[in-house]
Amino acid sequence: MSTDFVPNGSRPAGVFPAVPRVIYKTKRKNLSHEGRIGRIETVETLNLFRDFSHAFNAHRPRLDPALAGFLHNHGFLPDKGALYGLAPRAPQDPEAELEDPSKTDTAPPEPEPLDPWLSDFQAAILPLANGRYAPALSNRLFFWRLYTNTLPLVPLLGSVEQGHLIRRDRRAQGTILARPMFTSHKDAPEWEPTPQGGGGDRILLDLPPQGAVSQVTRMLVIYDPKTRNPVIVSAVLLEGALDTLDRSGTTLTSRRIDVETGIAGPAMQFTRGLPVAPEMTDPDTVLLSNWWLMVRNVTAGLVRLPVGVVVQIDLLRTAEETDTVIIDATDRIDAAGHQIHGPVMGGEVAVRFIKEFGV
Amino acid sequence: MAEQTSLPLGIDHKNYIKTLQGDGKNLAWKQFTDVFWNSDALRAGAKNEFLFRRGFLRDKWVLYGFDDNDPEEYLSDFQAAQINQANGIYANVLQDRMLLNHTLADYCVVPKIHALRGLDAQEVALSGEWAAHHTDGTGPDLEVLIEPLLAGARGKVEVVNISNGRFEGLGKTGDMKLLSDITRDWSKAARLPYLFADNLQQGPFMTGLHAGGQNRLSVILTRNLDTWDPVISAATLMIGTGASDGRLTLARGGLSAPVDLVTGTVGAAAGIGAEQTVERHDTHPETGAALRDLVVPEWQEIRAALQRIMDESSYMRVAMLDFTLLADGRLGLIGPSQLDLSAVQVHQPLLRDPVFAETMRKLTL
Repeated sequence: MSTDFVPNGSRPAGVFPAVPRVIYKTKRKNLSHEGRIGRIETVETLNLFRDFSHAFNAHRPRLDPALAGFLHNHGFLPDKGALYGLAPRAPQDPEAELEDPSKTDTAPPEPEPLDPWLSDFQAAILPLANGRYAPALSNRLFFWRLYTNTLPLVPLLGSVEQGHLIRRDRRAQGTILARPMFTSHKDAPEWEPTPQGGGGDRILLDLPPQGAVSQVTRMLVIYDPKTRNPVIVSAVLLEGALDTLDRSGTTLTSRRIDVETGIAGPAMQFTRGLPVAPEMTDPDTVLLSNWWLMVRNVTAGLVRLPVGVVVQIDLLRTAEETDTVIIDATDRIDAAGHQIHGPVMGGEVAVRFIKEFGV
Repeated sequence: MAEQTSLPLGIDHKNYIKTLQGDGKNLAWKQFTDVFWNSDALRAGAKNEFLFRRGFLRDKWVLYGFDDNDPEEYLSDFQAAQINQANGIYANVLQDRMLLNHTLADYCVVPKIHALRGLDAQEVALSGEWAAHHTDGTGPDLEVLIEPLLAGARGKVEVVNISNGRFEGLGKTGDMKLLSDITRDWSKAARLPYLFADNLQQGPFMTGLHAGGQNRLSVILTRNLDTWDPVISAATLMIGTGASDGRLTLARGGLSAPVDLVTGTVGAAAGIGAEQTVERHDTHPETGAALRDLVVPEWQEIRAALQRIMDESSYMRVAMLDFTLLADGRLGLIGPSQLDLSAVQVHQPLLRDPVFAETMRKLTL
């Protein structure tokens, strides 16, 4: 019958591969950063690599060529050398070691192994692992619509689209937070709704009243390919003005939260984009009183609506400190914020994830 | 105001088909030609070439009455098949029942999703009731609709009743493990993910149209790309007959009745008669139930809800959705529409609406 003309693109076999492998087409044995860039061949990954490469070359002051070559070929931006303490391994010279055994005591410590670090280029290609659900996590308006009854999101007041203000039937109770609608836009969040047009599309969120210091709990959630459950692989407590949290050049304080216990470790201060090692500003630990509530809220929601495989979620405690709300969700991972305390991809789940999705 | 009315209405189909570009369009054209030359229904004789060059299938000469009407005012079959692709990367939202269900939850009643069987044939329980039936059979009784996750996929659509950890349906009865095994086989055989969700019960207004199956309210929502205002382009009641057997298209024996967008008044229903011609009915041809001049209950609320859906979902450019009307008059989501646009255009050509025509032109559909 003529009515069986099926629309283009509704053939599931082509549009729904079981596992969207990003760069490596098969499961690989090791997690080395060697060779990843050599394997880039799809249009999306090539574009992302070009962006990475431009960002790398725009960095000033220039690094020592040997270190720059090492970082670039492993997918790290120049500031990560000092920020994470990454350096190429010293060339092995077994003969020298045999002749002078005492040398091992005075030699500089071997740099950290590189494999468990999430490189900047890897962070850029992670959203591709979301496959056909990538649009759900790269558009904040859509994310808010999709998870409106599933996650504790702050209320959506409206949006600014193509210069038109779309208002929902709701009055603001607290501060209005405007965020870019698309996570891949490079412009920073702003506090005021942009006037006509301005800096692109925004969503307007109704931020609840909060304490004097804004502490944002940032979670990196990935799906475990084996158990198919969302797993929080890293969580940090960031202190700093909300609007500049992700802006380059901002000085921030970050505490790593132990996912098992909810204890936030010592505070480390670092500046985004600066090749300076983080500095400990407060050696004391802090116990997050409502950590389990946060974990339960986030994972329960993501279990009910399994869309995508990697997402970073920002939570804010309300003034009463009894409840938490989600103020941001994005597929762009803040690699530096998580990793100034150490690599995040070393865990069992993270290793499975990287192998499964070929990032 | 004279300049405003000089906007060209309709689309020059012949030129459009001649200048198709892009891989997606080429693939669609190949599929169109396959269907066109293999279809034998309603042969149009010497008009074949005329229709082919404009992207219409053969049955449209009679259905749209091209002896009298201007083809430029009608959206062609080739274009209609690509309407969803105009949503770009968000086309997925309007194909994937799970995404659509969650995104529309604030605007209408959506069926509760119980489980998803993914492409790798794993079943994931998404509701407590489903998990309870699987473990110890303590969940409440459910009437579950099993459908392919993606609209438009040619998979099985079945309803099963579940109580005390056992299912009844598909011509058999058994425990949840058996149901799980059966759907796994379906999923593996056709490489399709399946979704298990509540089966919404249509209200008295819908049952009054035709009792033997689910009737649908199909709507086409779009956006005026200049003013960014939401627009309801068409609303059509798809009504079953004894012959249509759940597949509510004109070609399979269903009826379509237009709904006035302002008042909600139902017009005369159209169906394809025995002589392969369009027949209009003021009452249902089998049951004699009145159709013409019925008024859809709570139409103003429905209309407002439809406009809100489009207003607050800027990622959608064109949305075709199917709803049912529940007993309390509210909209209940059935899913992404599989509406055959001939059911709409048999009443009123879509491109006669200047806003719709302009939107289609801007989306280069």
